[in-house]
Amino acid sequence: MIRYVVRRLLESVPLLIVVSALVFALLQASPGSPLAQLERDPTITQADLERIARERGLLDPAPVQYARWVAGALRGDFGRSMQTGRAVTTEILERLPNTAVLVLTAFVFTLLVAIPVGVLSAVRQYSPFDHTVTTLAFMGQSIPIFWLGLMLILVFYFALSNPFTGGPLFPPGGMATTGMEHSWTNRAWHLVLPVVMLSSTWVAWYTRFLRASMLEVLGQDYVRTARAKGLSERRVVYRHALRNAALPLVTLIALDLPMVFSGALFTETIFSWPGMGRLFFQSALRRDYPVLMAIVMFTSVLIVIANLLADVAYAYIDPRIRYE
Amino acid sequence: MSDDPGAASAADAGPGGRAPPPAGAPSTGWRLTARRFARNRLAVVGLVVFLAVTLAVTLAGLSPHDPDRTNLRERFAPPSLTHPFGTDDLGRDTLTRVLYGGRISLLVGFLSMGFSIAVGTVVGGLAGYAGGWLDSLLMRFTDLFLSLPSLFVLIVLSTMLADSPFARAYGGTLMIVLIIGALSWMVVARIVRSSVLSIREQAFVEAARANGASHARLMVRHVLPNALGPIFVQATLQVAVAIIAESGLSYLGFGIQPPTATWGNMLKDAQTYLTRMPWLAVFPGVMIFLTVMSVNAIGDGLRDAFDPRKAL
Repeated sequence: MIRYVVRRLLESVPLLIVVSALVFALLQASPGSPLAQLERDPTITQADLERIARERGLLDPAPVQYARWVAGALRGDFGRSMQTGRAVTTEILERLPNTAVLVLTAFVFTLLVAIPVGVLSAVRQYSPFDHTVTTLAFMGQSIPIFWLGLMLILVFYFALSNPFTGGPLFPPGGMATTGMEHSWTNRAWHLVLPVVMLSSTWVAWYTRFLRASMLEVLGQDYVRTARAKGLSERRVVYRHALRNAALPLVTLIALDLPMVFSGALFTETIFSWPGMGRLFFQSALRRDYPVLMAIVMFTSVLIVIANLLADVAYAYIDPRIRYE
Repeated sequence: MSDDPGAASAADAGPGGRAPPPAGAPSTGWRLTARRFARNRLAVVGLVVFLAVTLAVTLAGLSPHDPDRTNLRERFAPPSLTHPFGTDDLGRDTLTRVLYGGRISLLVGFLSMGFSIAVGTVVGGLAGYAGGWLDSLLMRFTDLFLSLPSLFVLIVLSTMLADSPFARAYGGTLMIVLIIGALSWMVVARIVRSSVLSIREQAFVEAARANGASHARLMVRHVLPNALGPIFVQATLQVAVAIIAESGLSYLGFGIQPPTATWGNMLKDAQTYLTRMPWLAVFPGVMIFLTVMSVNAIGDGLRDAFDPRKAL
C-alpha cells in the first residue's frame, strides 16, 4: 500500500512539471508586461525600466525564468499582482477561508440531502417518490447554474419578502451585512442562497449516482443473505447495502474536493462572495495574469492530489481492490 | 457510411466472420437501437423538444423584428402580443434575439462537439489500437489535460486571445468553438480507447487481419464502426456540455461578444435590469435549460438503447 502511494506520488511529478511548464508558457505568452505598472509611471525612464527588468531577471532566457518561477512557486511565491502590487499568495490566502466556508457548507448540505434521498429512491424504485427524485435530479443536472442563481435572487430577494420585517427574504449577495460581520445568524442568512445554488447540481449528481449504486448493490447475493438471516430491512439497507453502495461515492467526493480551495466561480460572482472564484473572475477582467496563473497552477496541483487521494482512499476502504 | 455498418463489417470478415457482438458494444444494427430508443419516453420527448428548438431557431428569419435594431421608443416593454418575450433596454425584441442567439448557441454546441469527438476519437483510437509506448504517451497527454481546471483555463485562453484577429473572426464563435473543443475531448478519448481495446481482440478483427487488411482498413472498417455506439452517446452529451460552456463563458463576458446575441450574453445584459425587467433573464435561461435537458435526455436514451445488458 505504501509502495503504491509512493509510486503514484512519483508518477505525478512529471505530470506536474509538464503542467507547470504549460502554465508558465501561457503566462509568458500573455499580453502585457509584468512591469506594466511601472511603465505607466512617468517618472521612470526607459533606462530605469531596463535596469529593473534586468535586476528582476526578466531578460533571462525562458528556461532560466521558468526555473526561477518554479523555485518561487515551491516556496509559495507566485510573484505580485499586476493590479494591486501585492503578493499573489497574500491575495489568495485572504480569499481561501471565505471559499472554504461556502464550499464546505454546500458539500455537507449536498451529502445530507443526497444520501438519504438516493437511498430511499433506490429502495422504493418506481414509486412516486422515486419518479419525482429522478425527474428533479435529471433537471438539476441540466440547469445552467448561473441562471439558477439569477432566478434565486429574483424570487427570494425581489419577489418574496420577510413577513416579519417586510424586508427581502434573503440578501442578494455578500457575506454579511456591513457592521454585522460578527453575527453568526447574519452570516448564515447570507449563506443560504449561495449554498442552494452551489449544491443544486451536486445534489442532483450525487443522488443519481447513489441511487444507481444502491440499485446495483441491492441485487447482490450478500443482501439476499442478509435478508434471509432475518435482519431488519433497516439493518439490511443501511448496514449491508449502503456501506457498499457508498464506496464509489468516496471517489466522487475526493474528486470534488479541489473546489473547497479553488472556489465556485459562478456562485461567488453572482452573490459577490469574496472567495477564490471571484478573485479569479476579477483578475481575468483586469488581465492580472500572475494571479490567474497562480490559481490555475494551484488548482491543477489540487486536482492531481485529489486523483491520487481518490484512488488511495478507494483502495483503503475496499479490500477487494488490490494494488501491486 | 453504409446503412448498417455492424452487418457490413461482419460480412467483410469473410469465413467465420459472424462473430458474436462484442460485450458492451452495440449488438445488432441500428434499427434495433432505434426501436429501443423509441421505447424510452423521456428520450423521445427530449428528441421532440430538441427538434422544436432547432426548427424555431432555423426559422428565426421569419420574425418581423430585426434582432440588432434598437428602437428607443419601445424600450423595457413587458411581454405582449407584439413582443411575446418583451423588449430589452435598447428596445430590441427579446424573442427574436433569443431565436438568433439560439443559432449561435446550437452552432457552437455542434461544432465544439465535432471538434472534441474528432480529437478524442483519433487520440483514443490510436492509443487503443496501437498500444505500447504510443498508448502510454497519448494517455499521459490525456491525463495532462484532465488535470487542468477547465473553466479557469477557458477563461484564461479567451482573455489572452481577446485582442487577436482570431477572436474577432465570426464574432468570436470560431475561437470559442476551438477552445471549448480543445478542453473537452479527454473523456471521449478514454471511452474510445477502452472500446477499441475490447474490439480489437474480437475474432472478426483477427479474421480481417488474417485476410490481409491493412491497419488503416482494420481501424476504419472494422474497429471504429463497432465503437460508434459509445461515440454517439458521448457526442450527444458533448453538445450539452458545450452549450453550457459557451453560455457560461458568454454570461461572464469572456465568450461571444455583443452585439451578436447568444443565450449567455443575453443573460449577462439581463442581470443589470434583473428586478426591473425579469423577462430578459427568464427566457434565455429557459432556452438553455430546455435545450440542455433535451440533449441530455437524448444522450441517456441512446446510452440505454446501445447497452445490450439493459432491458427496455
